[in-house]
Formats: sequence, C-alpha cells, structure tokens
Amino acid sequence: MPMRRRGQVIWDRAANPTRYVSDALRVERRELRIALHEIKARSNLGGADRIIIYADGNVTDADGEDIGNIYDEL
Amino acid sequence: MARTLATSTTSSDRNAKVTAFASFRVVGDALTPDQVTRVLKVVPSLAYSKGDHYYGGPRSPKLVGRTGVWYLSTKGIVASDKLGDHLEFIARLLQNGSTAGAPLKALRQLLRRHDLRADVSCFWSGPAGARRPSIPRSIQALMKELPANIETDFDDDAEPGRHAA
Repeated sequence: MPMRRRGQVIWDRAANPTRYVSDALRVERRELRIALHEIKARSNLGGADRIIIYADGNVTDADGEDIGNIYDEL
Repeated sequence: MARTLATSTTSSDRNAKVTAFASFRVVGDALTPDQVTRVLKVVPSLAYSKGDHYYGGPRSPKLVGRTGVWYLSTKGIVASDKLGDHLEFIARLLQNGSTAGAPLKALRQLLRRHDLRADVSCFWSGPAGARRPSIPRSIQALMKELPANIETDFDDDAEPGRHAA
C-alpha cells in the first residue's frame, strides 16, 4: 500500500509545542494545546508520548499512525 | 478550512483567560465501551473498540483504534474555569447511585476482569504568573481506590522560546 503523502513536519516531540508551531498553524498556542490534549487523550496517549504535527494540521503518533487533525478540534 | 485568527497571536494570548477541563478514560484491548457506559450512566465524548474505525472530524484522516478507548471530556459539559469543578464532576460519576461508590466498585471489577486501565487527565492553561491548580486530596484518594492514574497538563500562555522543532 503506498504511503500517503504528508505535509511538512513542524513538531516532532513529546512536550507542549512552542509558539513557532501555533504560529505556523495560525492558531493561538492555548487553542493548540487544548486540541492536542484532546487528540492525545482520546488516542490513548499521554503527555509524555511523542507526537508529530504536520503543516496541514494532521497529527500522528510516534509510529506515524494518524490520530487527528488540529483544525477539527477548534 | 483553517480558521484564521488575528495577525498577532501574542496580543491575544496575553489577555487569555484560564481554561481548565479534565477527562476520564478507560482503555484496553478487551474494552467493550457499552459496559463502561452502563456502569457510569453517561454518554462518552468518544468510544471505540480495538480495530474500530472512528471519526475525528472532517479534516482528520481515517482513524483506527489501536486499542479500545472510552473517553469523556468535561470540556463543553462543565461550565467552570476551576479544575476542581471538572474533577468533581468525574468524581460524582464514580460515586453516583443508590449505594455510595457503586459505580466505582462496578468499574473496578470491570477493569480487573478485562485487564483495562483507567486514568484522569487534567488540563489547565492561564496567563503568565497565574497560580496553577492542585489536585484535591479527595480526588487523589478516589482515583487511587479505582485505581486510576492522574496526569496533569498545566502550562501558562507565556512561552519564551520561539524555536523551530
């Protein structure tokens, strides 16, 4: 199965994203934190789990599995 | 379509109010979400079994549950910026019923029988310098009794660095 093309990676860590990431997505940092918290919580992930955020708002876990999109949470 | 906010996020963040909510989650490969719903007598924000496809929103790709999840967020349910009020809402769900603590006992049995795990996740965001909340001892004791881990995500809106990932 061909791998789906993804946008540019703008965050690849476990911690709360910096303002660089919220600016890139054009959302407030607090909104981004809320969205990520909800996405991780419903995906059986915790704060210590690494996630990857793409420029189109898609979020995957550390294994590259899709877990949501930031804009769906706003 | 992406929501476009004000040009300067810095000025809007500076005036941000406190946001707080909590979520209660039960997870495990053998989870049957309806069983948790029947015990707690509340409709979850989202629930799925292992291997189920679930909907994350119109912009989300197809999502597949890697394990079973029953998830309830107090965001949009509890109208308070005090984390304690959100945790109290979850505590009442566990202590509700004709016999005090009946749902908690039933849920504990469910966790043991099906090798499930429960946890509470607490979110707080406020302006720089604001006092961060603490987890009430009564809530800590209740979650220890279940048992459920408590995780906190407390941060203020100020963020000094401006570094690329």
